[in-house]
Amino acid sequence: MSYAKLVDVTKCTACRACMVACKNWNDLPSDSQAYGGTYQSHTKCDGKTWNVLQMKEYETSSGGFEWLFRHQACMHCEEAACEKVCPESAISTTSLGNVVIDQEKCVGCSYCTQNCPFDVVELAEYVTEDGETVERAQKCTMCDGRIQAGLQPACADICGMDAIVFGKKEEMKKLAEARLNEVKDRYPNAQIYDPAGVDGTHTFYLLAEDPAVYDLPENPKVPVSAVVWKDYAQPMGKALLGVTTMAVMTGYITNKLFNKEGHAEEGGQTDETDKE
Amino acid sequence: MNPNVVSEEYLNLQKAIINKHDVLRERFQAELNLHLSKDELNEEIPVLPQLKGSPVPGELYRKSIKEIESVLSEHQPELGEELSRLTANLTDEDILKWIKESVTYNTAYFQTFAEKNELSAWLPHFLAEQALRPFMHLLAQACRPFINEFEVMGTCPCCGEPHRLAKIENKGRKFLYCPRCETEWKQRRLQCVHCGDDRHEHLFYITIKEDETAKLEVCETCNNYLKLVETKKLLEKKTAALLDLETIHLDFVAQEEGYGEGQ
Repeated sequence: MSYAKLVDVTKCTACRACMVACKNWNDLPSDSQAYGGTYQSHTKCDGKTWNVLQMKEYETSSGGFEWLFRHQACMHCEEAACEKVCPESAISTTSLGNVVIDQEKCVGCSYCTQNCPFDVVELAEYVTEDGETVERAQKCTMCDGRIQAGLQPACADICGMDAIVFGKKEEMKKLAEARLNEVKDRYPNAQIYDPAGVDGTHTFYLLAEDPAVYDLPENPKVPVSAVVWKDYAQPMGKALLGVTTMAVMTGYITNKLFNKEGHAEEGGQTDETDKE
Repeated sequence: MNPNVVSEEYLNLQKAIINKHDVLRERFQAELNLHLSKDELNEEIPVLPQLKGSPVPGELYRKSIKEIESVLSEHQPELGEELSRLTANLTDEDILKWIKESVTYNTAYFQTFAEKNELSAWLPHFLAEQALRPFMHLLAQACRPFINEFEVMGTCPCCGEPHRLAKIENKGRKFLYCPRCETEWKQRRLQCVHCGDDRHEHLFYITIKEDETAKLEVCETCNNYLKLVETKKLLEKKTAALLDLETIHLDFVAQEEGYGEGQ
Protein backbone atom coordinates (compact mmCIF):
# COMPACT_ATOMS: atom_id res chain seq x y z
CA MET A 1 0.00 0.00 0.00
CA SER A 2 1.50 3.32 -1.07
CA TYR A 3 1.10 6.30 1.24
CA ALA A 4 1.80 9.94 0.58
CA LYS A 5 1.87 13.33 2.26
CA LEU A 6 -0.09 16.05 0.50
CA VAL A 7 1.05 19.60 1.20
CA ASP A 8 -1.67 22.03 0.22
CA VAL A 9 0.26 25.30 0.27
CA THR A 10 -2.93 27.31 -0.28
CA LYS A 11 -4.10 26.34 3.22
CA CYS A 12 -0.80 27.03 4.96
CA THR A 13 -0.67 30.01 7.34
CA ALA A 14 3.09 29.72 7.97
CA CYS A 15 2.64 29.02 11.68
CA ARG A 16 5.69 26.73 11.57
CA ALA A 17 4.14 24.21 13.96
CA CYS A 18 5.32 21.49 11.55
CA MET A 19 8.92 22.60 12.07
CA VAL A 20 8.56 22.49 15.84
CA ALA A 21 6.72 19.15 15.84
CA CYS A 22 9.44 17.68 13.63
CA LYS A 23 12.28 18.86 15.87
CA ASN A 24 10.37 17.60 18.86
CA TRP A 25 9.50 14.11 17.66
CA ASN A 26 12.85 13.44 15.97
CA ASP A 27 14.80 14.98 18.85
CA LEU A 28 16.76 17.32 16.59
CA PRO A 29 18.98 20.07 18.02
CA SER A 30 18.09 23.71 17.52
CA ASP A 31 20.20 25.40 14.90
CA SER A 32 20.08 29.18 14.96
CA GLN A 33 21.01 30.94 11.78
CA ALA A 34 21.74 34.60 11.22
CA TYR A 35 18.87 36.83 10.11
CA GLY A 36 18.81 36.77 6.32
CA GLY A 37 16.44 39.63 5.63
CA THR A 38 13.25 37.55 5.43
CA TYR A 39 10.83 35.97 7.87
CA GLN A 40 12.11 32.52 6.86
CA SER A 41 14.00 30.96 9.77
CA HIS A 42 16.43 28.69 7.89
CA THR A 43 17.67 28.98 4.31
CA LYS A 44 16.94 25.32 3.49
CA CYS A 45 16.53 21.82 4.91
CA ASP A 46 19.66 20.29 6.36
CA GLY A 47 20.83 17.45 8.58
CA LYS A 48 19.61 19.17 11.75
CA THR A 49 16.46 20.80 10.38
CA TRP A 50 14.46 18.27 8.40
CA ASN A 51 11.71 20.62 7.37
CA VAL A 52 11.75 24.34 6.74
CA LEU A 53 8.85 26.64 6.10
CA GLN A 54 9.69 28.57 2.97
CA MET A 55 8.27 32.11 2.75
CA LYS A 56 8.15 33.99 -0.53
CA GLU A 57 7.04 37.53 -1.15
CA TYR A 58 5.66 37.23 -4.65
CA GLU A 59 4.40 39.74 -7.18
CA THR A 60 1.69 38.16 -9.31
CA SER A 61 1.46 38.68 -13.08
CA SER A 62 -1.38 41.17 -12.55
CA GLY A 63 0.79 43.23 -10.22
CA GLY A 64 -0.78 42.00 -6.98
CA PHE A 65 1.12 40.77 -3.93
CA GLU A 66 0.99 37.26 -2.48
CA TRP A 67 2.70 35.66 0.48
CA LEU A 68 3.60 32.17 -0.70
CA PHE A 69 4.38 29.56 1.94
CA ARG A 70 5.67 26.03 1.46
CA HIS A 71 6.44 23.27 3.92
CA GLN A 72 9.73 22.02 2.55
CA ALA A 73 11.01 18.53 3.40
CA CYS A 74 12.21 15.30 1.79
CA MET A 75 10.00 14.47 -1.20
CA HIS A 76 10.38 10.68 -0.78
CA CYS A 77 10.77 10.09 -4.54
CA GLU A 78 9.40 6.86 -5.93
CA GLU A 79 12.63 6.52 -7.89
CA ALA A 80 15.02 7.92 -5.30
CA ALA A 81 18.38 9.15 -6.57
CA CYS A 82 19.86 9.02 -3.05
CA GLU A 83 18.95 5.35 -2.81
CA LYS A 84 20.49 4.67 -6.22
CA VAL A 85 23.84 6.29 -5.49
CA CYS A 86 24.36 4.97 -1.95
CA PRO A 87 27.36 2.64 -2.13
CA GLU A 88 26.56 1.14 1.28
CA SER A 89 22.89 0.39 0.48
CA ALA A 90 22.05 2.41 3.59
CA ILE A 91 19.07 4.13 1.92
CA SER A 92 15.92 2.15 1.22
CA THR A 93 12.22 2.60 0.47
CA THR A 94 9.83 1.05 3.00
CA SER A 95 6.63 -0.81 2.16
CA LEU A 96 4.66 2.42 2.82
CA GLY A 97 6.72 4.36 0.25
CA ASN A 98 8.89 6.56 2.49
CA VAL A 99 12.65 6.66 1.95
CA VAL A 100 14.76 6.05 5.05
CA ILE A 101 18.48 6.07 5.87
CA ASP A 102 19.94 3.29 7.99
CA GLN A 103 22.26 5.20 10.33
CA GLU A 104 24.20 2.01 11.13
CA LYS A 105 25.14 1.55 7.49
CA CYS A 106 25.72 5.19 6.47
CA VAL A 107 29.40 6.13 6.25
CA GLY A 108 28.86 9.82 5.43
CA CYS A 109 30.23 9.62 1.87
CA SER A 110 27.87 12.43 0.76
CA TYR A 111 26.97 10.86 -2.61
CA CYS A 112 23.28 11.20 -1.71
CA THR A 113 23.64 14.87 -0.83
CA GLN A 114 25.24 15.54 -4.23
CA ASN A 115 22.58 13.68 -6.19
CA CYS A 116 19.31 14.68 -4.48
CA PRO A 117 17.25 16.44 -7.19
CA PHE A 118 15.64 18.61 -4.51
CA ASP A 119 18.78 19.40 -2.51
CA VAL A 120 17.23 18.13 0.71
CA VAL A 121 19.45 15.45 2.19
CA GLU A 122 22.54 16.81 4.02
CA LEU A 123 25.25 15.56 6.32
CA ALA A 124 25.12 16.27 10.04
CA GLU A 125 27.95 15.96 12.54
CA TYR A 126 27.76 13.57 15.47
CA VAL A 127 30.10 12.68 18.27
CA THR A 128 30.24 8.92 18.82
CA GLU A 129 30.59 7.18 22.18
CA ASP A 130 34.34 7.02 21.60
CA GLY A 131 34.48 10.81 21.28
CA GLU A 132 35.07 10.63 17.54
CA THR A 133 33.29 13.19 15.30
CA VAL A 134 31.56 11.58 12.32
CA GLU A 135 29.23 12.81 9.59
CA ARG A 136 26.02 11.00 8.66
CA ALA A 137 23.37 11.72 6.01
CA GLN A 138 20.16 12.99 7.57
CA LYS A 139 16.71 13.90 6.29
CA CYS A 140 12.99 13.59 6.95
CA THR A 141 11.97 9.93 7.44
CA MET A 142 8.22 10.72 7.18
CA CYS A 143 8.29 9.75 10.89
CA ASP A 144 8.84 6.13 9.99
CA GLY A 145 8.37 4.92 13.57
CA ARG A 146 5.02 6.68 13.82
CA ILE A 147 3.54 5.59 10.50
CA GLN A 148 4.64 1.99 11.02
CA ALA A 149 2.70 2.13 14.32
CA GLY A 150 -0.42 3.43 12.56
CA LEU A 151 0.02 7.07 13.61
CA GLN A 152 0.14 10.19 11.45
CA PRO A 153 3.57 11.80 10.85
CA ALA A 154 4.30 14.53 13.42
CA CYS A 155 3.94 17.41 10.94
CA ALA A 156 0.60 16.18 9.56
CA ASP A 157 -0.65 15.49 13.07
CA ILE A 158 0.12 18.99 14.33
CA CYS A 159 -1.07 20.93 11.27
CA GLY A 160 -4.14 22.85 12.43
CA MET A 161 -5.10 23.98 8.93
CA ASP A 162 -4.93 20.50 7.33
CA ALA A 163 -2.37 21.97 4.95
CA ILE A 164 -0.35 18.79 5.55
CA VAL A 165 -2.33 15.58 5.30
CA PHE A 166 -1.09 12.02 5.10
CA GLY A 167 -2.88 8.94 3.76
CA LYS A 168 -3.15 6.50 0.90
CA LYS A 169 -1.62 8.05 -2.21
CA GLU A 170 -4.70 7.56 -4.40
CA GLU A 171 -6.94 9.22 -1.79
CA MET A 172 -4.48 12.09 -1.41
CA LYS A 173 -4.44 12.49 -5.21
CA LYS A 174 -8.23 12.76 -5.27
CA LEU A 175 -8.14 15.28 -2.45
CA ALA A 176 -5.53 17.33 -4.31
CA GLU A 177 -7.64 17.32 -7.51
CA ALA A 178 -10.70 18.48 -5.57
CA ARG A 179 -8.75 21.26 -3.88
CA LEU A 180 -7.22 22.32 -7.18
CA ASN A 181 -10.70 22.97 -8.55
CA GLU A 182 -11.57 25.02 -5.46
CA VAL A 183 -8.50 27.26 -5.60
CA LYS A 184 -8.35 27.79 -9.38
CA ASP A 185 -10.25 31.09 -9.15
CA ARG A 186 -7.90 32.65 -6.66
CA TYR A 187 -4.69 31.10 -8.04
CA PRO A 188 -4.99 30.65 -11.82
CA ASN A 189 -1.50 29.08 -11.99
CA ALA A 190 -2.29 26.53 -9.27
CA GLN A 191 -1.10 23.02 -10.06
CA ILE A 192 -0.33 19.65 -8.55
CA TYR A 193 3.39 18.98 -8.26
CA ASP A 194 4.07 15.24 -8.31
CA PRO A 195 7.01 15.13 -10.76
CA ALA A 196 6.98 12.25 -13.23
CA GLY A 197 10.76 12.41 -13.77
CA VAL A 198 11.29 10.66 -10.45
CA ASP A 199 8.17 8.50 -10.93
CA GLY A 200 6.10 10.65 -8.55
CA THR A 201 6.91 11.51 -4.96
CA HIS A 202 5.48 10.49 -1.61
CA THR A 203 5.43 14.12 -0.51
CA PHE A 204 3.62 16.03 -3.19
CA TYR A 205 2.21 19.52 -3.45
CA LEU A 206 -0.73 21.56 -4.46
CA LEU A 207 1.17 24.70 -5.47
CA ALA A 208 -0.40 28.12 -5.96
CA GLU A 209 2.13 29.15 -8.62
CA ASP A 210 4.64 27.55 -10.98
CA PRO A 211 7.21 25.27 -9.32
CA ALA A 212 10.04 27.68 -10.19
CA VAL A 213 8.44 30.34 -7.98
CA TYR A 214 8.94 27.96 -5.06
CA ASP A 215 12.53 27.10 -6.14
CA LEU A 216 11.36 23.65 -7.20
CA PRO A 217 12.79 22.06 -10.36
CA GLU A 218 10.26 22.00 -13.23
CA ASN A 219 11.11 18.47 -14.21
CA PRO A 220 13.47 16.79 -11.73
CA LYS A 221 15.20 13.62 -12.90
CA VAL A 222 17.36 10.99 -11.35
CA PRO A 223 20.86 12.04 -12.55
CA VAL A 224 22.11 9.78 -15.35
CA SER A 225 25.35 9.25 -13.45
CA ALA A 226 23.28 7.88 -10.56
CA VAL A 227 21.53 5.39 -12.80
CA VAL A 228 24.80 4.37 -14.41
CA TRP A 229 26.43 4.02 -11.03
CA LYS A 230 23.82 1.87 -9.32
CA ASP A 231 22.51 -0.13 -12.24
CA TYR A 232 25.74 -0.76 -14.15
CA ALA A 233 28.95 0.41 -12.55
CA GLN A 234 28.33 -0.81 -9.04
CA PRO A 235 27.37 -4.40 -9.90
CA MET A 236 30.15 -4.44 -12.52
CA GLY A 237 32.58 -3.03 -10.00
CA LYS A 238 31.79 -5.95 -7.74
CA ALA A 239 32.29 -8.37 -10.62
CA LEU A 240 35.56 -6.64 -11.55
CA LEU A 241 36.69 -6.94 -7.96
CA GLY A 242 36.42 -10.69 -8.43
CA VAL A 243 38.43 -10.52 -11.65
CA THR A 244 41.28 -8.56 -10.09
CA THR A 245 41.36 -10.86 -7.07
CA MET A 246 41.68 -13.78 -9.45
CA ALA A 247 44.43 -11.96 -11.33
CA VAL A 248 46.34 -11.34 -8.10
CA MET A 249 45.89 -14.94 -7.04
CA THR A 250 46.99 -16.38 -10.38
CA GLY A 251 49.88 -13.91 -10.43
CA TYR A 252 50.99 -15.10 -7.02
CA ILE A 253 50.75 -18.76 -8.04
CA THR A 254 52.64 -18.26 -11.33
CA ASN A 255 55.29 -16.24 -9.53
CA LYS A 256 55.70 -19.07 -7.09
CA LEU A 257 55.82 -21.65 -9.88
CA PHE A 258 58.43 -19.82 -11.91
CA ASN A 259 60.25 -18.98 -8.69
CA LYS A 260 61.86 -15.83 -10.04
CA GLU A 261 63.81 -15.33 -6.84
CA GLY A 262 65.51 -18.65 -7.31
CA HIS A 263 66.44 -17.72 -10.86
CA ALA A 264 67.75 -14.38 -9.71
CA GLU A 265 69.97 -16.04 -7.11
CA GLU A 266 71.32 -18.38 -9.69
CA GLY A 267 71.92 -15.46 -12.03
CA GLY A 268 73.66 -13.61 -9.27
CA GLN A 269 75.92 -16.45 -8.73
CA THR A 270 76.84 -16.61 -12.42
CA ASP A 271 77.44 -12.85 -12.39
CA GLU A 272 79.67 -13.22 -9.42
CA THR A 273 81.52 -16.04 -11.10
CA ASP A 274 81.90 -13.83 -14.16
CA LYS A 275 83.50 -11.13 -12.02
CA GLU A 276 85.76 -13.59 -10.47
CA MET B 1 3.24 3.64 22.36
CA ASN B 2 0.72 0.83 22.21
CA PRO B 3 -0.83 0.18 25.60
CA ASN B 4 -3.40 -2.23 24.15
CA VAL B 5 -4.14 -4.99 26.67
CA VAL B 6 -6.28 -7.22 24.45
CA SER B 7 -4.56 -10.40 23.25
CA GLU B 8 -3.72 -10.66 19.56
CA GLU B 9 -5.85 -13.80 19.27
CA TYR B 10 -8.97 -12.18 20.67
CA LEU B 11 -8.42 -9.04 18.63
CA ASN B 12 -8.25 -11.16 15.47
CA LEU B 13 -11.49 -12.94 16.37
CA GLN B 14 -13.22 -9.61 16.96
CA LYS B 15 -11.86 -8.20 13.70
CA ALA B 16 -13.20 -11.27 11.86
CA ILE B 17 -16.61 -10.77 13.47
CA ILE B 18 -16.58 -7.06 12.56
CA ASN B 19 -15.76 -7.96 8.95
CA LYS B 20 -18.61 -10.45 8.97
CA HIS B 21 -20.95 -7.74 10.26
CA ASP B 22 -20.09 -5.66 7.19
CA VAL B 23 -20.77 -8.57 4.85
CA LEU B 24 -24.08 -9.34 6.53
CA ARG B 25 -25.13 -5.69 6.54
CA GLU B 26 -24.61 -5.48 2.79
CA ARG B 27 -26.49 -8.72 2.25
CA PHE B 28 -29.48 -7.83 4.43
CA GLN B 29 -29.72 -4.29 3.17
CA ALA B 30 -31.75 -5.24 0.10
CA GLU B 31 -34.08 -7.57 1.99
CA LEU B 32 -34.70 -5.20 4.85
CA ASN B 33 -35.99 -1.90 3.60
CA LEU B 34 -35.94 0.36 6.61
CA HIS B 35 -37.57 3.69 5.95
CA LEU B 36 -37.80 6.08 8.83
CA SER B 37 -39.43 9.44 8.88
CA LYS B 38 -38.22 12.00 11.37
CA ASP B 39 -41.69 13.51 11.76
CA GLU B 40 -43.00 10.40 13.47
CA LEU B 41 -40.21 10.27 16.00
CA ASN B 42 -39.68 12.00 19.32
CA GLU B 43 -36.28 13.67 19.27
CA GLU B 44 -35.64 13.18 22.97
CA ILE B 45 -35.92 9.39 22.96
CA PRO B 46 -33.65 6.96 21.09
CA VAL B 47 -35.05 5.70 17.77
CA LEU B 48 -34.96 1.97 18.52
CA PRO B 49 -37.60 1.85 21.32
CA GLN B 50 -39.90 4.11 19.26
CA LEU B 51 -40.16 1.71 16.34
CA LYS B 52 -43.58 0.19 15.89
CA GLY B 53 -42.39 -3.09 14.45
CA SER B 54 -39.23 -5.09 15.11
CA PRO B 55 -36.34 -4.01 12.85
CA VAL B 56 -35.09 -7.61 12.94
CA PRO B 57 -36.90 -10.29 10.90
CA GLY B 58 -36.62 -13.72 12.55
CA GLU B 59 -35.51 -15.48 9.40
CA LEU B 60 -32.60 -13.12 8.76
CA TYR B 61 -31.63 -13.18 12.43
CA ARG B 62 -31.28 -16.95 12.24
CA LYS B 63 -29.01 -16.56 9.20
CA SER B 64 -26.97 -13.99 11.08
CA ILE B 65 -26.55 -16.35 14.04
CA LYS B 66 -25.41 -19.09 11.67
CA GLU B 67 -22.77 -16.83 10.11
CA ILE B 68 -21.41 -15.57 13.44
CA GLU B 69 -21.33 -19.17 14.65
CA SER B 70 -19.15 -20.17 11.69
CA VAL B 71 -16.69 -17.34 12.42
CA LEU B 72 -16.55 -18.38 16.07
CA SER B 73 -15.98 -22.08 15.40
CA GLU B 74 -13.38 -21.25 12.77
CA HIS B 75 -11.33 -19.23 15.26
CA GLN B 76 -12.03 -21.44 18.26
CA PRO B 77 -12.60 -24.98 17.00
CA GLU B 78 -13.04 -26.28 20.58
CA LEU B 79 -16.35 -24.37 20.73
CA GLY B 80 -17.67 -26.18 17.64
CA GLU B 81 -19.60 -28.93 19.42
CA GLU B 82 -21.22 -26.57 21.92
CA LEU B 83 -22.14 -24.10 19.18
CA SER B 84 -23.77 -26.65 16.91
CA ARG B 85 -25.73 -28.07 19.87
CA LEU B 86 -26.93 -24.54 20.66
CA THR B 87 -28.00 -23.54 17.17
CA ALA B 88 -29.54 -26.93 16.28
CA ASN B 89 -31.96 -26.68 19.18
CA LEU B 90 -33.08 -23.10 18.55
CA THR B 91 -36.80 -23.09 17.76
CA ASP B 92 -38.52 -20.26 15.88
CA GLU B 93 -40.04 -19.24 19.18
CA ASP B 94 -36.56 -19.02 20.73
CA ILE B 95 -35.41 -16.85 17.86
CA LEU B 96 -38.18 -14.30 18.41
CA LYS B 97 -37.47 -14.31 22.14
CA TRP B 98 -33.72 -13.87 21.47
CA ILE B 99 -34.36 -10.85 19.26
CA LYS B 100 -36.47 -9.19 21.92
CA GLU B 101 -34.06 -9.93 24.76
CA SER B 102 -30.89 -9.03 22.87
CA VAL B 103 -32.38 -5.70 21.75
CA THR B 104 -33.03 -4.84 25.39
CA TYR B 105 -29.65 -6.31 26.42
CA ASN B 106 -31.20 -8.72 28.92
CA THR B 107 -28.16 -10.64 30.18
CA ALA B 108 -30.22 -12.35 32.88
CA TYR B 109 -32.44 -14.03 30.29
CA PHE B 110 -29.47 -15.42 28.38
CA GLN B 111 -27.82 -16.68 31.53
CA THR B 112 -30.91 -18.64 32.49
CA PHE B 113 -31.05 -19.91 28.90
CA ALA B 114 -27.45 -21.11 29.18
CA GLU B 115 -28.13 -22.83 32.48
CA LYS B 116 -31.22 -24.58 31.14
CA ASN B 117 -29.42 -25.86 28.07
CA GLU B 118 -26.14 -26.65 29.87
CA LEU B 119 -24.08 -24.14 27.87
CA SER B 120 -21.25 -21.79 28.87
CA ALA B 121 -22.82 -18.82 30.61
CA TRP B 122 -21.28 -16.23 28.23
CA LEU B 123 -22.03 -17.99 24.96
CA PRO B 124 -25.76 -17.41 24.21
CA HIS B 125 -25.65 -13.68 24.92
CA PHE B 126 -22.38 -13.19 23.03
CA LEU B 127 -23.84 -14.91 19.99
CA ALA B 128 -27.18 -13.13 20.27
CA GLU B 129 -25.57 -9.70 20.55
CA GLN B 130 -23.07 -10.24 17.73
CA ALA B 131 -25.85 -11.53 15.46
CA LEU B 132 -27.91 -8.44 16.25
CA ARG B 133 -25.19 -5.93 15.34
CA PRO B 134 -25.70 -5.96 11.53
CA PHE B 135 -29.35 -4.98 12.09
CA MET B 136 -28.27 -2.21 14.45
CA HIS B 137 -25.89 -0.94 11.76
CA LEU B 138 -28.75 -0.92 9.24
CA LEU B 139 -30.97 0.97 11.64
CA ALA B 140 -28.15 3.48 12.17
CA GLN B 141 -27.84 3.88 8.40
CA ALA B 142 -31.55 4.67 8.13
CA CYS B 143 -31.27 7.25 10.94
CA ARG B 144 -28.15 8.94 9.57
CA PRO B 145 -29.87 11.80 7.69
CA PHE B 146 -31.53 13.20 10.80
CA ILE B 147 -29.64 11.78 13.80
CA ASN B 148 -27.77 15.04 14.46
CA GLU B 149 -31.07 16.75 15.25
CA PHE B 150 -31.78 14.33 18.10
CA GLU B 151 -31.15 15.44 21.64
CA VAL B 152 -31.07 12.34 23.77
CA MET B 153 -29.43 12.69 27.16
CA GLY B 154 -26.96 9.99 28.18
CA THR B 155 -27.47 7.38 25.48
CA CYS B 156 -26.98 6.78 21.76
CA PRO B 157 -29.83 8.53 19.91
CA CYS B 158 -30.19 5.53 17.64
CA CYS B 159 -29.95 2.33 19.70
CA GLY B 160 -29.97 3.63 23.29
CA GLU B 161 -26.54 2.30 24.25
CA PRO B 162 -24.96 4.33 27.09
CA HIS B 163 -22.12 6.64 25.97
CA ARG B 164 -18.60 5.43 26.42
CA LEU B 165 -16.63 6.38 23.31
CA ALA B 166 -16.03 9.57 21.36
CA LYS B 167 -13.60 10.53 18.66
CA ILE B 168 -11.79 13.80 18.11
CA GLU B 169 -11.59 14.49 14.41
CA ASN B 170 -9.89 17.21 12.40
CA LYS B 171 -10.05 20.72 13.84
CA GLY B 172 -10.84 19.26 17.25
CA ARG B 173 -14.44 18.39 16.48
CA LYS B 174 -15.87 15.86 18.91
CA PHE B 175 -18.11 13.08 17.66
CA LEU B 176 -19.72 10.51 19.89
CA TYR B 177 -19.33 7.09 18.37
CA CYS B 178 -21.55 4.16 19.32
CA PRO B 179 -19.79 0.78 19.41
CA ARG B 180 -23.12 -1.05 19.18
CA CYS B 181 -24.68 0.54 16.06
CA GLU B 182 -21.75 2.63 14.69
CA THR B 183 -23.84 5.83 14.78
CA GLU B 184 -21.77 8.97 15.09
CA TRP B 185 -23.07 12.37 16.00
CA LYS B 186 -21.49 15.71 16.79
CA GLN B 187 -21.27 16.93 20.35
CA ARG B 188 -20.05 20.00 22.17
CA ARG B 189 -16.41 19.63 23.06
CA LEU B 190 -16.62 20.91 26.62
CA GLN B 191 -19.66 19.25 28.09
CA CYS B 192 -20.20 16.07 30.04
CA VAL B 193 -22.25 13.80 27.80
CA HIS B 194 -23.76 12.00 30.76
CA CYS B 195 -25.15 14.87 32.84
CA GLY B 196 -24.79 17.89 30.55
CA ASP B 197 -22.58 19.86 32.94
CA ASP B 198 -20.49 22.33 30.98
CA ARG B 199 -18.58 24.00 33.80
CA HIS B 200 -15.01 23.37 32.74
CA GLU B 201 -13.72 23.23 36.31
CA HIS B 202 -15.73 20.03 36.78
CA LEU B 203 -14.33 18.29 33.70
CA PHE B 204 -10.93 16.61 33.71
CA TYR B 205 -8.80 14.48 31.46
CA ILE B 206 -6.88 11.40 32.49
CA THR B 207 -4.08 10.65 30.05
CA ILE B 208 -2.06 7.48 29.78
CA LYS B 209 1.69 7.89 29.62
CA GLU B 210 3.01 7.31 26.09
CA ASP B 211 -0.48 6.86 24.62
CA GLU B 212 -1.02 9.94 22.51
CA THR B 213 -4.15 8.77 20.72
CA ALA B 214 -6.58 8.01 23.54
CA LYS B 215 -7.50 9.58 26.85
CA LEU B 216 -10.33 9.74 29.37
CA GLU B 217 -12.70 12.59 29.96
CA VAL B 218 -14.15 12.47 33.46
CA CYS B 219 -16.86 14.54 35.08
CA GLU B 220 -16.71 15.40 38.79
CA THR B 221 -20.41 16.24 38.85
CA CYS B 222 -21.81 12.86 37.85
CA ASN B 223 -18.66 10.75 38.32
CA ASN B 224 -18.90 9.28 34.84
CA TYR B 225 -16.29 8.93 32.15
CA LEU B 226 -15.96 8.95 28.37
CA LYS B 227 -13.15 7.49 26.30
CA LEU B 228 -11.76 9.97 23.75
CA VAL B 229 -9.84 8.69 20.75
CA GLU B 230 -8.00 11.20 18.59
CA THR B 231 -8.78 9.56 15.26
CA LYS B 232 -7.09 12.49 13.54
CA LYS B 233 -3.79 10.97 14.65
CA LEU B 234 -4.52 7.55 13.18
CA LEU B 235 -3.72 6.45 9.64
CA GLU B 236 -6.60 4.03 9.26
CA LYS B 237 -10.28 4.67 9.85
CA LYS B 238 -11.51 2.19 12.46
CA THR B 239 -15.01 1.10 13.45
CA ALA B 240 -16.34 2.13 16.85
CA ALA B 241 -16.46 -1.51 17.95
CA LEU B 242 -12.76 -1.93 17.25
CA LEU B 243 -11.77 1.38 18.86
CA ASP B 244 -13.81 0.43 21.90
CA LEU B 245 -11.95 -2.86 22.20
CA GLU B 246 -8.53 -1.36 21.61
CA THR B 247 -9.07 1.22 24.34
CA ILE B 248 -10.40 -1.20 26.94
CA HIS B 249 -7.41 -0.37 29.15
CA LEU B 250 -8.98 3.06 29.60
CA ASP B 251 -12.09 1.45 31.09
CA PHE B 252 -9.92 -0.35 33.63
CA VAL B 253 -8.14 2.88 34.52
CA ALA B 254 -11.35 4.89 34.82
CA GLN B 255 -13.05 2.28 36.99
CA GLU B 256 -9.98 1.89 39.19
CA GLU B 257 -10.04 5.65 39.69
CA GLY B 258 -13.65 5.35 40.83
CA TYR B 259 -15.50 6.64 37.77
CA GLY B 260 -18.37 5.03 35.93
CA GLU B 261 -21.79 3.51 36.51
CA GLY B 262 -22.46 2.29 40.01
CA GLN B 263 -19.16 3.57 41.38
